[in-house]
Amino acid sequence: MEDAAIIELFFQRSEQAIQALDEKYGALCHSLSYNIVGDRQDAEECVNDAYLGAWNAIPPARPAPLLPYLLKIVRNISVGAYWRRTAAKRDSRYTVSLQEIECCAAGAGEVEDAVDARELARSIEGFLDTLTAENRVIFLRRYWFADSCRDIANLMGLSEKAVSVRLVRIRQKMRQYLLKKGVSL
Amino acid sequence: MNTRKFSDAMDQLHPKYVEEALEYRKRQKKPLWLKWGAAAASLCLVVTAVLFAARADGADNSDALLAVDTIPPAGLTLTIVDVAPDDAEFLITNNSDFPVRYGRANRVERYDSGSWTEVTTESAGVFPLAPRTIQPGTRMYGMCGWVVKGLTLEPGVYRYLLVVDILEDDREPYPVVLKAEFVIE
Repeated sequence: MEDAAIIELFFQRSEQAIQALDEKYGALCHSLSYNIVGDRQDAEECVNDAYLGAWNAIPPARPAPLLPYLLKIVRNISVGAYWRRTAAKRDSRYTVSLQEIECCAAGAGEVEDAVDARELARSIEGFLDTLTAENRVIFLRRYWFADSCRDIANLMGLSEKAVSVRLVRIRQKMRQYLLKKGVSL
Repeated sequence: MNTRKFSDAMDQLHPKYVEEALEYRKRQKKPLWLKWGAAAASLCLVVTAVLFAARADGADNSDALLAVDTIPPAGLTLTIVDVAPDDAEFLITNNSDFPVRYGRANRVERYDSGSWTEVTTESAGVFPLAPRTIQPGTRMYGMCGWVVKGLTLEPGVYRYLLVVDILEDDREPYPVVLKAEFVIE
């Protein structure tokens, strides 16, 4: 079913809207949520909550394209669930990817100015614009989608080692970029 | 270390970055039969050109192409922008007056005892079946590509040779070899 037709079901407040959404994008939603929360049952709950969020937002929203909009809701809910857990229970691909970022943070005293998440997002966007499309996709797949290096390698047609090496270089570049901007993580 | 802030910031990235990562997946995913079919078609084209072409320079094989010593037009440059032992990124900048067609052959050479020694050579069959044209005033990123051969370069001085075609008006396309040196540490 086309996205426009699914959105029309939402506007009609049809019960088939959620079913149509799940049939078309359910697998991607579950995969993203599972990458973050690391538990099938929790991922199921997050995705169901995301569907409810979409139901409440559409209308008046009329997202185009639909998938990134939906995945953003899924991610937001899943990340919220992730952080509500105790540190000991955070065992997922997302944990591994965040540990990689932790290693590239500025050391104490290197940068004085601490920015909020929104400003940091703008800075990261500026950094992403300096990358090639390929590297930008690798960065997003790792730190937004929380894909494993193996999954990214299969997607990009690269070896797992090549992806791992690229991520190291991308993180180093990001660190340097943010330091120049006076931004600390 | 504030991985929480990074996580929140990633959630606030503009949707275009997520869309790009999703669309990249769709663009790159080809069925295996299509890949092999394209490779076979490419091979047929190369063989046919060798048998029936009336080119004076006979430069239809990689070694001959890479030996061409025609000086590239002013403003056409090749640089290596990112290096790792298992691959590197190149950038072709076309500030010349002519369109440039990418993808005939490439080679990686290592500098040893005062001379350049071939490490690996790729022929036309591994380049895109539909040639890419780099218009004047534009540029193109790409991968040198030795990673697909499972090669990891030892520390040393290398250079990357890339054959492209210059598309001048009122003249048959002719090949030139672009070269860029890089260091593996």
